[in-house]
Amino acid sequence: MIRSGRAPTTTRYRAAEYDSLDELIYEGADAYNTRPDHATVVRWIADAADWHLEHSNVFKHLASARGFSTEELRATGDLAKVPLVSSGVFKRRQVASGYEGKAHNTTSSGTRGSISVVVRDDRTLERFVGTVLHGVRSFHGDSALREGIVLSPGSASPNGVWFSYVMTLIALLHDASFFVENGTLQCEAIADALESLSPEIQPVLVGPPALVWGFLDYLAQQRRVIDLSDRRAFALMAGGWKKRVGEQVSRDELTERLNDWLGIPPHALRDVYNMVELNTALFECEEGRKHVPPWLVASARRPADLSIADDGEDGILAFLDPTALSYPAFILSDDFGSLRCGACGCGRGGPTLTVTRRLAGIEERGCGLSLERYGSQTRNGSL
Amino acid sequence: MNITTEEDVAPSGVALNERDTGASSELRLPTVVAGEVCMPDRDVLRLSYDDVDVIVPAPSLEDGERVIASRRQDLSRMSIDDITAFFAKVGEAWSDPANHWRKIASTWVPRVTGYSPQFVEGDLTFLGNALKRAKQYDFLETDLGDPSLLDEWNRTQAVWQRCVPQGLITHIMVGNVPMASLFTLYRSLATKNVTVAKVPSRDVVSALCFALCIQDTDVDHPVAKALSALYWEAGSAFEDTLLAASDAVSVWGRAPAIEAVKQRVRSGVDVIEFGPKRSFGLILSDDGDWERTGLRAACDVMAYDQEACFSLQEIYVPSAHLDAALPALQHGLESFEQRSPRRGLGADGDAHIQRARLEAEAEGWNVLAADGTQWTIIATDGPVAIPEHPLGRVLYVHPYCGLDEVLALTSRDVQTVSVEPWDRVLTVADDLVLAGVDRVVPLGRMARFRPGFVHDGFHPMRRMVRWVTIERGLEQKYRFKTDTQDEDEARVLYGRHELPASAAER
Repeated sequence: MIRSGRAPTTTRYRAAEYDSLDELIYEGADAYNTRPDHATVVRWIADAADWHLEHSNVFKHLASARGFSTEELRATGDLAKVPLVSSGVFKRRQVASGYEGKAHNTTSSGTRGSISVVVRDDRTLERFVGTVLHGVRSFHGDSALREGIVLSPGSASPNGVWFSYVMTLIALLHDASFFVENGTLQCEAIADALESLSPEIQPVLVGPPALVWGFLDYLAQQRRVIDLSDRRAFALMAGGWKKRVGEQVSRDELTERLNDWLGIPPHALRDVYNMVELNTALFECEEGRKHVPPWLVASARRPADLSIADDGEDGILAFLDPTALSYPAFILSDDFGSLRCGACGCGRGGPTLTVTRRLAGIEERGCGLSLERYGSQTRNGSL
Repeated sequence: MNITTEEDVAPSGVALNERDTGASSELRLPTVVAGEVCMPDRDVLRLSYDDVDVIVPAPSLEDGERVIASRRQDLSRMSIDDITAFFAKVGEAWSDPANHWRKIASTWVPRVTGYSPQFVEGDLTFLGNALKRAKQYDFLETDLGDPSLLDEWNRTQAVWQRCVPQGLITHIMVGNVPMASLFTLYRSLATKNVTVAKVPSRDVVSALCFALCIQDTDVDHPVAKALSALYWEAGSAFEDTLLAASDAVSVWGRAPAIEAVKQRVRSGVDVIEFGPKRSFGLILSDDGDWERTGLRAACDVMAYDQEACFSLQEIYVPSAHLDAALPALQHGLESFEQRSPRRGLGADGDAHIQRARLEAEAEGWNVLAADGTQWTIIATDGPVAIPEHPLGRVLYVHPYCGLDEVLALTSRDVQTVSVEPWDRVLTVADDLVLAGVDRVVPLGRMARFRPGFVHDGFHPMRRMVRWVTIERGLEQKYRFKTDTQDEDEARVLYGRHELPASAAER
């Protein structure tokens, strides 16, 4: 177990360019119900697009091919016209806009055989952290009496694996202990830590679903019930099942075991949606719906023509994220899902997102060669 | 596609009724186990496609034992002439539009695979024609040289040589090219092997209908008796049973699938691998008729909507001719879309194409495309490997300056290269095959195989037989260094130049 004290979260980014977007991310209260108007969102996206047009060849090429201009965007407010960067581009070439200061290569975990590399500068990274803190504040409130029980290594991966980094962010908010050592989940230590918490502490179990399930499986095997029901404990899951997709269990099974062995009720299990190419985390509410933060534009695109799908209609999920400056975070993802604009039972406003599945691989069809067979010949791109 | 099991389903009766002619969204199809038709009337598997379900019997371990115990002698003793005559009858039956199994294939293969009815009909007709006796002999001679080797001892050098069947061959098929499945069955049975086919989930209909047509032609024929065609799940105990008993295994598919099978066969058992491969086109110069060149290239692209190993996925065009080539290629693809529309790809297939277009635009490449995803041309800025081709009639066009640029991206992964203009083929053929290419054809002829074509660089039937010899006695001297048998035995047996007197007298 690695124990970490709370980081000094009060030292927020205060650059000269600190603008209304930063203000919303870092300080926006009740932001889901007092959302900025469309014109403001368009301005944020257009400002980001201006930056990327100036600094990113990839985005410049896309804009040219699609006949996009920020002048037109500002005039029409038509966000559907903003060119999208396929998440696949990040697997094949560097996609970076100009940045100042230190740049960090953040990477996907390579579950599907190829690794995406996303360059994040300090400001972009700090804004991401801001979106996480904003989400925790908005969906779980502030509390000084929380402790994170984190099912991941205690330090970010040296090779920049994004998921590993994201897992460490809990330490910015609360005292936290990390329970993966040398690649092994320390189940007994987690159980001991949960049982030894002071009564006034609210535990937060954080981890990918496969490890949460692994810990619950351990408790079931040991017949060891840890009753956290009177502590308002909750569980935050992120990252999906990745390489352990073959062991995937349903959400119902997971919530049932969480309730049975830890006393964490179903509404206290929350998923967080993010991917390495996206600079915003989307949090789930007590109704189990993932809310789109007010600065982020999310849409489902019809695969046949990339037009924007109707409310509730499944499509390829796409995001216009103005928080990233070191790369264009206008992303066509490889997830399918839908957006709903109706009111949520939790009382928060704005659209909610449902992720249905990942895009199936091409290798399921044809005799074509798979990526790993000759991907090494791919030409490296330059800026 | 989903697969579910169902138990104790009410018997349907073999007489596949009107619901199997297309009015229904459900087809119940028998399998063939050790030459006997097995009805989908007990435990069944339901294979669910976009709009239709196909229900087939679930195989049992007893079925596996029956397959393994199939009688081998009758087929192994039958002459190849009688076998080809039988297959010619199968071909005639299959060619009859009124044939029950052909009708089911014509109706259901498009519904299961998504390929257009016209395209599927062309394939089914091609199979019937390919089973004409003359064509069968082309096929046999290509692989074996002399088909009589399957029947009798042929003299060569100082031996009598012939081929005998491997025994039991298990075929793990793929469904992207329905025809491929059917030819692998033919190869295996023509070489007199007990043959069990795992029909592909992607298309269970083609291979099962063909197998059932063989049964209908003459259920007592040794070819029919030696055939099993079933669907089973990869990695199942049923598959383990068959692989353990197989004398050779033919596997179609991606490297992981092939490796998974290899690990489960006995040592010494030949695993005959097919795929994965890719193919490209090569334009060498302007032959003055770009419209025809565009149509030829499009013809190669539309073959199985690029899902076959011999489909054209990329084409190299001299840089100086790129501007002329692009509109011609566009015209070709648009023309074929009118005549033979691409199959629907579903959300995932469309999504891959949209992503490929965006990724190309991100590179600054020129993208020409239909309003939907029916066809796409991506002109790169020079030869470059395409790590993830989306298929579905997406043509990457690489402008090039010298053949070296093409060869640098050519390897053993390339099966077929189609060349234009054809009269210049010999200027590039040696370089292409030495770089790894197996097959060089005229542009537009990738899916039209000439007699003598070699599949993936080897002759599959040669690996479906054992080559056996009777080495002749020294009455045939051939290149023997001594003049007589006595002389040789004196040297070998007695260590002298002449036999001892006692031996000589005997």
